[in-house]
Amino acid sequence: MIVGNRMTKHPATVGPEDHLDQAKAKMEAGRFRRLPVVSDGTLVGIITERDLREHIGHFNQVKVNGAMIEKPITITPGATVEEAAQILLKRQIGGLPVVEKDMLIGIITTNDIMKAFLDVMGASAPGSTRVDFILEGEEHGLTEASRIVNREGGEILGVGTYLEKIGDNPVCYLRLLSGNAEKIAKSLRSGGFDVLGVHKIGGESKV
Amino acid sequence: MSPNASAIASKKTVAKIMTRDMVTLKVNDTLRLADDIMNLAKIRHFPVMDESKVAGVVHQADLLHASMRSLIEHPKDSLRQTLGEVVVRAVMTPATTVSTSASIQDAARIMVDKNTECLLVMEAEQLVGLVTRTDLLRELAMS
Repeated sequence: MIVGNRMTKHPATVGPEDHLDQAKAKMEAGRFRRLPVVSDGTLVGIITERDLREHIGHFNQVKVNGAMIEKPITITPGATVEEAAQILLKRQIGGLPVVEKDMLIGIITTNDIMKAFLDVMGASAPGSTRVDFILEGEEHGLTEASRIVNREGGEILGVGTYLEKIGDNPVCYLRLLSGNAEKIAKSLRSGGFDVLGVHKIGGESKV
Repeated sequence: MSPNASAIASKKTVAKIMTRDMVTLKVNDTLRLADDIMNLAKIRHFPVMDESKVAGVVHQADLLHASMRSLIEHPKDSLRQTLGEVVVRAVMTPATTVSTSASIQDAARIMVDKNTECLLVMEAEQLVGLVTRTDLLRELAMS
């Protein structure tokens, strides 16, 4: 696993002479937490949300080169993902610009790296599937769902919930062992559950 | 349990790595309090409680966005003043939770899919712990 295959290519960037309001607008538009600062293709710095914070109220007066981190820690495309992970953990940062001969060619973040590790683990441990569905009151609650899974001969390895939005019904996910997750999902649907998706570890999602 | 089941089930769970000692905020606490605790205690994520129930989470970035918004609306106020007038409820985001039995991989997958910074760990509908992006990245990198 090398960085070059896992990075985001052609990331959004800002110029050193741009004002901070431009940097902020780009971060907001793309939901980025950091932007590489590039001059003629060469990486000259990185600017993060935290750097913006120091200049709140003056975004239209301060230039990027007055707020950015100069000479940021970088990585090369041929480095391993494991190496990238070690650097991010040691330095307590969330992303690394990827450079080749000082030219910016990509960025790799904790999310890219976690995805890479998960894909590798998924490929070496097949046979488990995640089923996501909406939890709604007693009738479409966890107890009823596990009853259906048991009836279909499924084995539950783990359970959790997440919310898409405050006020929404929580989404429950069940980690199931066995190859008949599709059949279980079908039974959950016939039982009135709103099944959002069936995700094979490391594989494609099916909805 | 089939051999395959025990192999997967015996994998490390979030309960093994979660932080149990959490600082929580209440929905009506001000952002100034959140900011002070973040700076003093060097904590970046807080579960937000409404009475004894989890209402959401606040991350350092949420505070930044809120303070930028308020200062644009009230440019004459100081940052501390602005933070003192906004409550946590207004900026918190939905909590993503996992059970104590969730595997490291499942937790990491949820975090990647949702692009969240932390997961709250629940047991019998009670908040018992918190895992951060750094915690999970470290576990994945070491395995």
